Amino acid sequence: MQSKADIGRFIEDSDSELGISSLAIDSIPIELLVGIFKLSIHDNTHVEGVFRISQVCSHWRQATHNTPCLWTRPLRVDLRKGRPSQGVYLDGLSSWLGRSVPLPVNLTLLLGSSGISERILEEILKISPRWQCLRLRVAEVLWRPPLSLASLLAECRLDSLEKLDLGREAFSKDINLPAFPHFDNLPRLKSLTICIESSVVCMPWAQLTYLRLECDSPPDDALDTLAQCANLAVASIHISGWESGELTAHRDIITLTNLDTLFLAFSGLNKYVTPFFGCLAAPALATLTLDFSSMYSDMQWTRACFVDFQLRAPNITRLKIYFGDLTPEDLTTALQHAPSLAELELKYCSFFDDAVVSALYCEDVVKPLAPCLHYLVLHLIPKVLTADILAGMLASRWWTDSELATRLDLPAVARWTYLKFTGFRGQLWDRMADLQREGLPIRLR
Amino acid sequence: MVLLVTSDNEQFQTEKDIVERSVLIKNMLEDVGESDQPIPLPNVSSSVLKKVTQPSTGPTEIDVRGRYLSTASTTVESPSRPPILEQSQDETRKRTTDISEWDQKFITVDQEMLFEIILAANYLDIKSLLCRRWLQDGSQHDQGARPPEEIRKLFNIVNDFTPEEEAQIKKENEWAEDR
Repeated sequence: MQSKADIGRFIEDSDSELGISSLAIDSIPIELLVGIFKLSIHDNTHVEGVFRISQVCSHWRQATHNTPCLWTRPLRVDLRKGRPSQGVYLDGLSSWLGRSVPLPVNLTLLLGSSGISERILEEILKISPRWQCLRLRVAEVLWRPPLSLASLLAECRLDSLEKLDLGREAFSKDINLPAFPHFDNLPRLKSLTICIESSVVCMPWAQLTYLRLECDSPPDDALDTLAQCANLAVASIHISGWESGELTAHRDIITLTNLDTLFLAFSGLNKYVTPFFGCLAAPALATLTLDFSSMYSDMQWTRACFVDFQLRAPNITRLKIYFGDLTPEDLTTALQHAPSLAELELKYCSFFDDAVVSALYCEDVVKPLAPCLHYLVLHLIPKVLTADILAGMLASRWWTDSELATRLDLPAVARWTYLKFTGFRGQLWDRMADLQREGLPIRLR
Repeated sequence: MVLLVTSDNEQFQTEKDIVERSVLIKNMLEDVGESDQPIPLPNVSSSVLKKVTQPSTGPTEIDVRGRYLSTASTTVESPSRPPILEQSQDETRKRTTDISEWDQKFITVDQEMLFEIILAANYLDIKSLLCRRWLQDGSQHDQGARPPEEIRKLFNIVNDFTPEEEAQIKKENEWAEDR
């Protein structure tokens, strides 16, 4: 117990100099006024927000103009030619960017087939040392930004750049610039989004912690690139499949020690996907998402290859699979080799059938499959499930609090914490609704 | 329960989890530990503390915990929440349409009170809950800033811009609309 004197002393120590007797708005300390301004501005409407506040009176205008951080929120800059009021746009942009000096800025450059306004681009390039985040966005489908733009960016001083998003499309070829420029001036870069057309792209790969890679060339180029990214924590890789089940050349295992999250999307006609896993080790990998929704052929899955990968990635707790032509045996084998798996999400996966469901059934006498699994999401699974079999499996992994309290030993599997089923109809819906009423944490959509 | 004493020596009894929404009070309680002693708030008057913490007649569907600051001798129950409780962004979003009406009533105070509330909110370190109410447009879903005219009216501020500044402002707005 503390005495009143202790409390009083604490308050004296922590009191600010603020008095509350002043009544005029001008008497609010400028730091507090600016603090209120910051809280009043939202990212989505920050341009209008900061203008509104700066247009109240000269005192507030001065306060906002002298507070660079109010002018640094993400700004979209339309670089396209052909704007009728280019002078007004340029002046406004110039004033806006000037008010954030010397702080880093976060810009999205909007590009289009009408070409690039040189004057606006010049204004943007002038402040390149202050770019913290730079994104390129294309306004029209199928249009690609010119390689000359990438070249200009690569020539800039990019001292502050931490996040560079060059878009998901490759740059259009330029006769005068046959190769992708070298970006060797990015001392702080941590996050990169890029589309590559070869493995010969000079970037500070080793310092990246986030990479979104679109590979418009053979998938081996993506592997060559990943081999240089030793420090990745999150990777989103978009590649085609291989023409055969074997890699074209021997390749050492690529070990991504810090990789926590991998999103892997396959597209195109080539049907072999598991070679990717044949040369990857990810001991810290927790979340693996496999997206086969853009494959135009029957995919080929080599079970043993994926199992070998799982042995090199033993800590996967979340597995998400979208579409794909695995067999029920492929999935069951994958689950058998995922001892830490806690969350499973499947979308349009016809291989999650009664056989897999039965394999997940928990019986005390049999070593259970996926013992840590407590989270299951099934989106629009086609008609391959029998309501009673699914309901039986779900019930075999569920106990009420009182049932758990009266058990002498712990169950061999985790209890469900989250079950979400989308697209269920008829008997499936009814049975799940029954279980819901019995207390299982089911969400039906 | 925690006993607060305002600058004009009025005592307020309230539950700990409610007053801890004020970072200042929360830190105090953490530093002094369990205590029956009253906590003095020498920079906050009773009228301001009441305004910051007591509900007005507001929307009725808002969470009713029935617990908010009240004078030591009285327990008042009301369906609406005092601003000190308005913590969760999710809750705030859910109640967007209500806030406008609530705000209208809440901000209907004289200028003297308004500034005292802002300063007290800063002193108590609950400014994120309170201060931004003044500049935000409760009628907008995203609660962007109020138009300058509204802010001027609310704070009784005179538009003292020169013609040159007005011209500059006009250009700014053209750019903002065109971008």
